[in-house]
Amino acid sequence: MRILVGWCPDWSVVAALGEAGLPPLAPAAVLSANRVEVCNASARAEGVRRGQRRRDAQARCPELALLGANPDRDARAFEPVLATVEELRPGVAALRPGLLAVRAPGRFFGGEEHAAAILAETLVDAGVRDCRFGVADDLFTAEQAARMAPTQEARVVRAGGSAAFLRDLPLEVLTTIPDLPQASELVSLLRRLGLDTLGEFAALPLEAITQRLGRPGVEVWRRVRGEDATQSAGVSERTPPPDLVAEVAFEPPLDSVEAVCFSTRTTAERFLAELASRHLVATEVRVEAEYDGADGPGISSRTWLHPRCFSSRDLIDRVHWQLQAHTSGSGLRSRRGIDGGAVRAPIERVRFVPETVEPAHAHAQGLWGGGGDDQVERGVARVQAMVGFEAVVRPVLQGGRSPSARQAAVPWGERATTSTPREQPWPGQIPGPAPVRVFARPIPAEIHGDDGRPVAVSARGAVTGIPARLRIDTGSWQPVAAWAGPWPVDEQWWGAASSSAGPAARFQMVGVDGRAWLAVCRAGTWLIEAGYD
Amino acid sequence: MQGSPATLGVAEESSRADQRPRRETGQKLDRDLDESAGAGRGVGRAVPLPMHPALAGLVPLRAGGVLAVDSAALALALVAGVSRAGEWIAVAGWPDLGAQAAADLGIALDRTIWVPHIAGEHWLEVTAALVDVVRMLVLVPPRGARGTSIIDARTAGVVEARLRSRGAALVVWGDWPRCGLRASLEDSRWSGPDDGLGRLQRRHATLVVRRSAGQAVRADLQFADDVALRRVGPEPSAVATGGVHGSVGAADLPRVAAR
Repeated sequence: MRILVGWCPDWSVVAALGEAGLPPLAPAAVLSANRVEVCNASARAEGVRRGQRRRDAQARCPELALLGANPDRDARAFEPVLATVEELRPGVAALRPGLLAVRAPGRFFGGEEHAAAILAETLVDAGVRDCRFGVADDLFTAEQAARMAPTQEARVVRAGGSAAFLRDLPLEVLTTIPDLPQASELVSLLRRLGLDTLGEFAALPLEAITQRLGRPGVEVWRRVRGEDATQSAGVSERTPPPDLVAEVAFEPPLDSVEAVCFSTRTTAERFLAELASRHLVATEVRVEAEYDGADGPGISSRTWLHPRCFSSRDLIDRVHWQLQAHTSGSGLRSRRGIDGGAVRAPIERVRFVPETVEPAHAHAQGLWGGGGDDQVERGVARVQAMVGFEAVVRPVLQGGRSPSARQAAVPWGERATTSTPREQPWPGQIPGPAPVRVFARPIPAEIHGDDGRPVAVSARGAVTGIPARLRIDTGSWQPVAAWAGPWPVDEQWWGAASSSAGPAARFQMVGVDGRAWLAVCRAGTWLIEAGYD
Repeated sequence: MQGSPATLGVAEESSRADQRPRRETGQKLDRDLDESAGAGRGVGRAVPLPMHPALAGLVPLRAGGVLAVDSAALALALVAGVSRAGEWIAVAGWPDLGAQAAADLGIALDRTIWVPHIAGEHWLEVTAALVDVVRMLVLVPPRGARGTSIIDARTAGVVEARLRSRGAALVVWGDWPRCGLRASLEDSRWSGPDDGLGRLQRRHATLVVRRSAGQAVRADLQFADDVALRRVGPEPSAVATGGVHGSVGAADLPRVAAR
């Protein structure tokens, strides 16, 4: 069986440049741990090399675009390339991002050179300028052939000619084998033994290899002899991912949320049935609604999570919430810029895109119903239908200095995305028992000293008077029984003027009624942040 | 409730009860299972609820009951026992819940449903839907325009009937019409702050549980930062006082929550 390998050199750089929106020929390097991992030809022309430190690379080429390493991005960007090749020749194996293998097409395209030329042409049309192909009997030889081919061309090793082709290659090509972590040590050892080419290595007897290098060495030895039968047979062809997206178009467009939900019901059921036929359930679904407004067509898109898995009724609920939030403009707040914009125009199309699917058996119901949690999800869905998606929340603890910064409310069903780790020490936080009441919006208060004047905190953190009486909001004055503090903090002084920026001092105040409060004095005004009721 | 089972024992019973379908089976089967299992979350059955160890034996709150409290810390402590036992709880109408304090008392936040705001027209539906799924619910009742209670005896009766049929209990931080069981923290004193030095450390308070019939029960409690809540002093004493009515007046209610 003949193998065709397609190679896109420096794929990490190509993918990163494409994502960053930079021109594809700009000098660029992908850095990992402050060292150049991959760089492209324009950067190499300026003297940038693999393994260089960031500073050295920048010194060689000041206009070098420095990009972060991200294997997920590379694989994601390689997916369209795989799909393009798959259209011509099914049974594509993705070896790693930038490298693919396929059984070499024989007579259908009129020979292997023609097949490679057609593939190259198709990929260049798809926007992949630098692609090279190699055809050989086994995978290792085909990859080396592809690496030696000029841009957009192919190098064909004739059948049975693998050993002859590999004979003159330097030992360094062994370091390109991904599943051989000790390759550089092996090359170094062979160099010290006086070997220079793969041919010399291949000429060694098998017993010597077995004694000196063991089983991994024998595998490499077989490869460089072109005898790697397991590799050629073991190209794991990928199955094209099924298209699970379901959509429904409305003609004429619908302008009522209820009508859209009613008409989407069968599509939602079809969407879930398609998943169920593959023994999958959806736990994260993106709902897209296309509309044609006065200012041009647009898409409202939002990703919805489900704590368990979506039923068709849940999906319809999500469509309802998403469209209602957009039509009314109030109700649900838009969070984190997920919303694609207000829908004030008739809806033309609704699409369900499965973002995360899981095997159905992980979510199967028990023999006697799903237990307590199942009922809780249903009950919460009922409450959400009444008061809105984001009105039912889950309390979550996070890091911070003030009590209100140390907790967050996450809408039910969404993942908690805390940017502030709780494990950090957070100097300046208030010791003692945690307050039972934490006001999201602090309550204004007044605190006067025993001389009748308002108490403040000076710029150096000194208290100007002894707190004697306090008044919360518009309540009545009451004497202060005890107080503690101040705990000075100066947060976010670098940022824009916000309510929590600037120097402040926190106090614990106990009224004569036995209630304690956490008060903060910021720029002479007092606020009650929490209560120890 | 004197001599109530230890918390561990109740936890075992409730977990056993959870493995059964609660409503799908008929009442007869449910009753049979109740009799065979000894106890459980029966329909219309007044089962003692697991309580925080410091409150065990003090508060005669049973499944299907309503308890009005005047302190936020007490409301959280009362539902902590159920949450420790692995059941779900909910907090409704309480926008300024202190999550850290709740966690310190032993409430599992990942089994807590929090509906911070319940609007005036929705509160009954939301409360009923939550009662369906949780074992205990903390409710801060919504207020009317002038801070008056909008809950009348009829709607309260609807909620109480739902509580009894579901075997859940309700802790109301605020006022509840014709409530037969009230708990309050009296004589609250903080120790620790010393006119600028020190910090809040411990809070001593007397828990007073009043029933419409019978004597009030008093016990000394201590809230501290090392152990969130513990009982101090002598064993609870029953003190003859008047009835419940008028003991928790509108003046004691959380004023800021009504804003």
